[in-house]
Amino acid sequence: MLLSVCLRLSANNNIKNDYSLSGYITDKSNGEHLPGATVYITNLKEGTASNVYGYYSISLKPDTYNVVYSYVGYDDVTLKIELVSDTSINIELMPAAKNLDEVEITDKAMNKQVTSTQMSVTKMDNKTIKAIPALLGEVDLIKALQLLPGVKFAAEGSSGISVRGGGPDQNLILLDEANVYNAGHLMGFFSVFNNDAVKSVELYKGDLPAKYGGRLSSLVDIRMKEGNMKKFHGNGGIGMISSRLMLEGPIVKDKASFMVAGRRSYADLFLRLSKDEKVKDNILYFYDLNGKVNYRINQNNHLYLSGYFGKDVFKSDFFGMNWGNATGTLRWNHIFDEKLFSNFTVVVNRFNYNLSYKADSPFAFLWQSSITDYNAKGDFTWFANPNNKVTFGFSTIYHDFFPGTIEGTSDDSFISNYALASNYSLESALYLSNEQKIGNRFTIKYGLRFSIFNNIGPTTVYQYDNYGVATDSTVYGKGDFYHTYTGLEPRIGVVFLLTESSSLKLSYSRNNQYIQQAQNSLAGSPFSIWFPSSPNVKPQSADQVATGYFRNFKKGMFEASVEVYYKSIKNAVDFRDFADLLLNKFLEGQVLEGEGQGYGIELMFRKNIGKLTGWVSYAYSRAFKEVEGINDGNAYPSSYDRPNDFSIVANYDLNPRISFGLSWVYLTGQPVTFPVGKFEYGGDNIPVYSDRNSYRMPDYHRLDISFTWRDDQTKKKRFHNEFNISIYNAYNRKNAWMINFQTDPVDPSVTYAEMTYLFGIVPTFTWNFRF
Amino acid sequence: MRQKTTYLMVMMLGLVMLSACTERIDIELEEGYIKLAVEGYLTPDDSLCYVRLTETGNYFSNEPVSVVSNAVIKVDDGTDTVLLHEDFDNAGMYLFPEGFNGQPEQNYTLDVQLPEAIGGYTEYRANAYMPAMTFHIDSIALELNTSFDFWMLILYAPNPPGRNFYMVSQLTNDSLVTAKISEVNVFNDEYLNDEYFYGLAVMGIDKEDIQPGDKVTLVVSLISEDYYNFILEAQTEMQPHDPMFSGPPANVRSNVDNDAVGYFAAFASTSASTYLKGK
Repeated sequence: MLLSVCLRLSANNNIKNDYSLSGYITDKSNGEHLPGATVYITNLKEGTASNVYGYYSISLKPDTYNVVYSYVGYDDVTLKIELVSDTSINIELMPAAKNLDEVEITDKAMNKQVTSTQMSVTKMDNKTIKAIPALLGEVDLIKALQLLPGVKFAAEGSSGISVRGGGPDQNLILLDEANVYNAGHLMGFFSVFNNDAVKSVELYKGDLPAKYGGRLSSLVDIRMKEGNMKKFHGNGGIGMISSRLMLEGPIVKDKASFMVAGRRSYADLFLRLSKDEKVKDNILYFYDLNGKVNYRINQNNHLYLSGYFGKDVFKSDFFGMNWGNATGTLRWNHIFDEKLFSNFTVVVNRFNYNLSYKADSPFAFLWQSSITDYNAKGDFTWFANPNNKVTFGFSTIYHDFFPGTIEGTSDDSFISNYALASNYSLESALYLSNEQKIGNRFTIKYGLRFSIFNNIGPTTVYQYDNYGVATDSTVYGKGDFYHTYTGLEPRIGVVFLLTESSSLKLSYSRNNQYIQQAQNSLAGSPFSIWFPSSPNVKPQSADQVATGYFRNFKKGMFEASVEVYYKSIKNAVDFRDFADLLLNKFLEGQVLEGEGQGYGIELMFRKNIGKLTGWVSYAYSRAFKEVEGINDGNAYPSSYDRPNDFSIVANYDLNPRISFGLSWVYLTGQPVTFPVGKFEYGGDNIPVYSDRNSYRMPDYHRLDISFTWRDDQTKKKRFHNEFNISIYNAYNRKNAWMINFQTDPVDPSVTYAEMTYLFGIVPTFTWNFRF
Repeated sequence: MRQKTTYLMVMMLGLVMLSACTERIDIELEEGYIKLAVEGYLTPDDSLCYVRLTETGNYFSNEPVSVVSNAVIKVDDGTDTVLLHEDFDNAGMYLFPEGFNGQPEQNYTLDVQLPEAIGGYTEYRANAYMPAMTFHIDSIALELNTSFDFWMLILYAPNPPGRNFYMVSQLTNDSLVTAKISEVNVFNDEYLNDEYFYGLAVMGIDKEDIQPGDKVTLVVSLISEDYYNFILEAQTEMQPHDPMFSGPPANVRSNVDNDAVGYFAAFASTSASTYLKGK
């Protein structure tokens, strides 16, 4: 009702009828939708942006307007439109000719960073990610995100990210709306996202739109390419670790298209070089496949079907393991009328792993685990009037947790079959949000997400004492809704335009998280299972307040921002000392909950256009936890508390054929717990430890550089080449991955600290092609 | 099962370590952090009956830890209290009176009174329960594991009812091989077939360590769940920690109060022997 009143109050300023100007904005060369393209009404000095499906709608009084359609890297289209009725205009924008002149830039006057009510969000496209030097030549969007302020890797080489001090399981990673539970190949050294298949990625640091929820720290929204609607096209490459190929093209020109991208590694080829006979014959590889079909039924209906399948495999004589994600998304965009855009989505996603040990041994076993989600959602955008854009919708996810079974697989097996009880839950939400313009300078976003989490049988729920020992149990039957949590999650944001190119922003959001990962190691492994909130585990909840100043220079050529945030977490999850998290049916007894706190300041200066592009960023942040039962109940730094985070990312196009890339990152060493004493027992020295995380690893810093040569891209030939040389860790910094304490083999009375580092200087060579 | 998962994790960590390098690094650690360390055992026979008191030492110190002498140590079984005496030849080692041994299914309370405070306290107490000795060994055997080329010590024995926790040690020619806490094996029967250990491999012996004709003895002790966890925690903390699989380091539990470290354990054991046959 309040929303309705607000709409009426603002609509009272528009006594005459409004008409809608709406349509799709696409790339003229391939038909891909352009999300975030701006539609600027020069007469009014205001406008809008296309949504994630490239759809825009703006309500205007009947009049004649100069409308500028623009998108970074594309030529503007300017139309003079006499608006006398609801008008649908689809716009095709042509990619700009490679323009290295720093002065000649687009004349667009609306910058999303300045005007958007969404704070703490950064977008990167496929080209930006590709320009960043990569480990072993594997272009990786997750590693690119790790270079943004407030985002850190969980551990060197890891695909897990820590956003504003949060753990890797606090990030909602979506690939075309499907949840990706484990985003790492090869124990996390590479992400599962093939950059050739990716169109864009947006990272939201805490201030999630009301449409999204379920995680405390961030949303990583990854969109796959839709497929070239105009002509058949492909690209690929051969690198040190993997080879890849992407094909796309029209099924029916301008009507339907497909995209398929595959990648396969051959890391095991390097094992063949080992002198160790046992290592030589091991098999180690990963593969992944992305696919999408895109069908424009008509102007008002559009279908997308996309999927991902990937696997990591390791096999030796006596041991085997594999794990992987599979996702499938079906979406239907439907335009009810020019003012009401909708999207309906059905998703299935699954992560599973298997481990096995030799078949002819009494210890032979098979260990399996999985998590499967079935998700249905509907999202609506109502362009109510020129000053109000309302979004609302629903989502429901059925989680099927299969934490693990282990069975002996030989005739004389010692291993008795052991199964953790499966459990099921329903995670649902309704949301309503409005973005309202008040005058020319003030925009406010206010919304509410109402979330509901149900635990569903069949399962067994244990009751625990204060020491985590199970004392009793209750068995629930199939379909029993035996426990429910609900949560109200407000989302509020305010933008005050100081000038056309600068603004002040303020936001508040609450996010609840109902599922989390049983992981107490820093980097995590694929075998860390997910488990739900329950009668024994309360949902985690984070309140975040952020404020910032945003400024663009030279019509968007440069972007600068400073953001300050504070977040407070209730029921922050941690685990008991020596927690047994693998195949433990009493896992919930290992969980401890307390409070968390984080705060920080993030500065970023970014250049988007010209020969030289990139950014410089610095963040100072702290993150703490306080959990009864850990560190004697005293507050301790979170494992992801790394106060100083400095990044430089630069790409320089010397000319259309030669580019140089550079990234340099500096991070405070991560907190660790070191021994401060030792005692003798049973002939050994056993360490006595400091307070939790009261020491730090050495600071981390690393320089990566790259050189790319392309053949003449303007020549009209079918096949084009590109060669890339990258040097990871160019000055060979030995960054500690772990520090352990060893006894000197020569003199057992001497103990010393030993550092393990993963990578020295790593040069790589990649050949890329397109046709 | 825990050992198996540990093995798996070590394997996978090994994959990572294929590309990793190590080198020494200078770390400055806090010093002057002193606690009382208690190492105490009580068994039904004389094999292992003493209490040793020491102080914790600085982590990087090459010096032996300081022993604690002139303490007054008593053990109470609920009926009688015995006073331990310090071994004149081995300062810090306190022995039970001759003829005093522990009994299964008995609770024991250890009381320590120090001449000077350590860690802020002069009095310390620990409680230990000796589980019933319901376990016996039918036989043991040596079997060669051809995958990894080592001898497996195989156990044939009935598993008593209820949840049981075991510690196994090994002697060769009557000389204790698993002399350190890091070398013993512990297991429990949670993941194993219930009623009988039919050829359960409980210990591995390097092929070079025994020769044909050697006498190999397996000692099996029935220990409390808390002591089982103490041993596992101690073994965990003596192994490297890695970012992928290891949780944060933590202090090993103790059943001695007032922030002391170490353990006072009570358990009974049984043993059996076999000989490695010639070629």
